[in-house]
Amino acid sequence: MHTDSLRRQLLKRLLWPLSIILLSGSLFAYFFALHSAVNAYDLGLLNDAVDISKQIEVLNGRMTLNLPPVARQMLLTNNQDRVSYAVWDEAGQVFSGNPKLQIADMLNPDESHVFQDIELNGEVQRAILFRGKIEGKLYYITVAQTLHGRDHLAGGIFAGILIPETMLALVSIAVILLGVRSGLSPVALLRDEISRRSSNDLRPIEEMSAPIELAPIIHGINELLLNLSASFASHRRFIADAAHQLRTPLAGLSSQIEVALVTPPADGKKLLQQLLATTQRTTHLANQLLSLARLEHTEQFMYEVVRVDLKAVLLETAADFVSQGARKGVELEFDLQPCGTKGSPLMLRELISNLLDNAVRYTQPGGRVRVSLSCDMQLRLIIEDNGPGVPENELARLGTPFHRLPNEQIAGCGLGLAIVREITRLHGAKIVFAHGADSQGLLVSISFHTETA
Amino acid sequence: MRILIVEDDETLGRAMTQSLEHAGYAADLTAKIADALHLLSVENFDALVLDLGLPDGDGYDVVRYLRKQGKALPVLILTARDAVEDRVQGLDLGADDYVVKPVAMAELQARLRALIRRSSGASSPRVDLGRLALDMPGKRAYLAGLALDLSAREWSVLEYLATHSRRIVSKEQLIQAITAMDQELSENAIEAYVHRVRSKIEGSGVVIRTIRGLGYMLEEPENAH
Repeated sequence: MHTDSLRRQLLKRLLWPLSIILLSGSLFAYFFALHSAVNAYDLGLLNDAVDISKQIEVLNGRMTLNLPPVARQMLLTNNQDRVSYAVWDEAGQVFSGNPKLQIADMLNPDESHVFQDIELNGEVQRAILFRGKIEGKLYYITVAQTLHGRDHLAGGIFAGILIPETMLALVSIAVILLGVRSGLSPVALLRDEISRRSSNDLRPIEEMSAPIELAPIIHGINELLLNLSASFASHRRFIADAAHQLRTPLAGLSSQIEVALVTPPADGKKLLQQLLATTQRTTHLANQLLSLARLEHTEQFMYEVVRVDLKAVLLETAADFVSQGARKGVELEFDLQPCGTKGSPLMLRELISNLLDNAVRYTQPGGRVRVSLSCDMQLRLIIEDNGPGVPENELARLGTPFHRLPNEQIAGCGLGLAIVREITRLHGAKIVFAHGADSQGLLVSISFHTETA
Repeated sequence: MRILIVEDDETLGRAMTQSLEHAGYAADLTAKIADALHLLSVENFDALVLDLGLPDGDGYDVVRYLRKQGKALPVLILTARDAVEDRVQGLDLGADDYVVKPVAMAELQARLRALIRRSSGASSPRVDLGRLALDMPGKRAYLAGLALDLSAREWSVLEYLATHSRRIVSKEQLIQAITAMDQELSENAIEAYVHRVRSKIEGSGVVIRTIRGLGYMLEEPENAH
C-alpha cells in the first residue's frame, strides 16, 4: 500500500480518535468503580461504628461496652474481610477492642466521624474514627476492615463496564474497516475498469454510476481518451494517405521500367531523366512525410529552444531558392530587419524552406516572391507571391495534410504547408493565409513571439 | 583532390565513387570504420564522406578520432538519420556538413567543392569556377586561360563572392570585405563594381545574381547529369 493511500489516511483519522475515546472511557469507568466501592464500604464501617456506639453504657461513672456475643460475632465477621475495633474514653483508656487501633483525635468540632487508610498487622486497612458523647463524656470508636471485599467489588464493577466497552470498541473498529472499504470501492472499481483495458480500447468510462467526488476524475480521463482516439484516428488516416501517396510514384516507376525492358526506347537518356525526376519527387515526398510525422508527435517541451536569428536563417535558407527561382524566372525580393525569436533553428529553417519552396513552385515564370521580416510591433514573417493564388473557400483548408487544390497542375505532395503549420504550432506562432496585394497570389503571414517576450 | 568515402551500401558507394571520379576527383571507398581509420592515418585526403550506421560501429567515432588528432579534414556526414538530435550531434562533434540520404550526385559534388574550398581557404592557390580560374596569391583571374583586366576592388569583389559561392552575401558584408577601416564605400559604388565584374566574367558560366533587398550570390555552373 502506498504511503498516501486514501484508505490508510481514512483509517488513521478514524481509529486514533476512537482509541482515545475508548481509553478515556475505560479510565473513567475504573475510577468510578473504585469510588463506588469505597463509598459502599465506608457506609458499612459507619453503620458498624453507630451499632457499637449504641451499646456503650455508663456504670458507676465508668464507660463499658455491652456487646452481646452474637452481635460481636456479627460485627467482626464478614465473608472476606477481617474486621477489628477499639473503643476508648476521653482519658484515652481503651475499654474494649484492640488497643492498636487507638488513633489521635483529628476531627473538627462539628464532625462526628472521619475515614482514613491505616496500616495494621502489615497491611493497609480502611478505618473509621467515630466520636460520640454519653452523659456529657466523650468516647471514641475505631472500626477497621481489610480491603479484599472493597477491591473485589471495584473489580466487579470495573469488569462490568469494561467488557461491554471493549466489545463496543471491537464492533466500532469492524464497522469502520468495513465502511472505509465499501466507501472506497468505487475507486477500486475504477482501477479495475482502467487496468482491464487493452491499449487500443479508448471507449470512454461509464460516468453515470460514479460518486460525485470521482466524476471529475473520470471526466478528465474520458477527455484524455477522446483526444487520444482522435489523434489515433488522424494517425490512421495519415498512414492511409501516405501509403497511397508513396505507392503511386513507385507504381509509375516500375511500370515505366517494365515497358522499357519490353521495348527498349530509342532515347534511353530521356527515359532515365524521367525516372530520375520521379525518384527525386518520391524522395522529397518521403522526406516530407517523415518530417510531418515526426513534428506531429513532438511537443514544445521535447526539443531544445535557443535564440534564433531569423534573418540569418533566412539568408542561409534562401540561397537555394534564389537559384531555383532564377532558373525558373521567378524573382525573389527581400526586406529583412534583424529579428530574433526563440525556437529550434533546424525547424525554423524547415519552415522557411517549405514556404519559399511553395512560393517558387507555384509562381509562374516572370512572377516574384516577396519575403519580409519585421519586428517593429511584433515579429512577423511575410512571404507573398503574385502567383495564381488560392480561392477564398480554400484558404482555411491550407495546411491540411495531403490536401491539394482542385485542378492543381503543379507537382507537389501536399505536405509542405502541413509541416509549416506544425512548426508554427510548436513555436507558439500564429499563421494566417490570405490573398496577396491586388487580390493576387498567396500571402502567408507568421507572427512569432519576440525574443524579449 | 582525393576523397575518402565510408559507406556500407554497395550500390550507393559505387555510384558515388564513379560520380566523383567522373567529376575529376580521386575517390577511395571503404565500408568499415577500421579500414577508414587506417587509411586516414597513412594517406592524405582532402575530404571525407561519412555514413553513420556502419557494420563495425558508428560513423561519429571517425569524426571524434579525427578531431582528437587535431585534423581539420572536412567531413560531410551522409546518412539516412534525419532526426534533429542526430544533426545537432553530428555538427557538434565537428562534422562540417550533414546531408540526409538520398541526395542528388550534383548536390553532393557542389557541397564537397564548397567544403574543400572553405577548408583550404586562402591557402589554396587556385580556385576553379566553371571556365573561370582564380589565382589567389597573384590576385588575378583567368577566363578560359586569358587574364582578365580587373581593378583591385573588382578583384576583391570577385574573390569574396567566389569564396562564398552558393551563399547570399549582403552588400554590407561585401563593403566590409573589400574596404579598409578608414575607407567608406556607398552601396551604389558596390553596385557599380559588381556590375563591372559581372560583365567581365560573362561567358564563364559563373553567374552573380542580384537579390533584391539582400545582396548578391555567386553561382557556378552545375555539371549537367
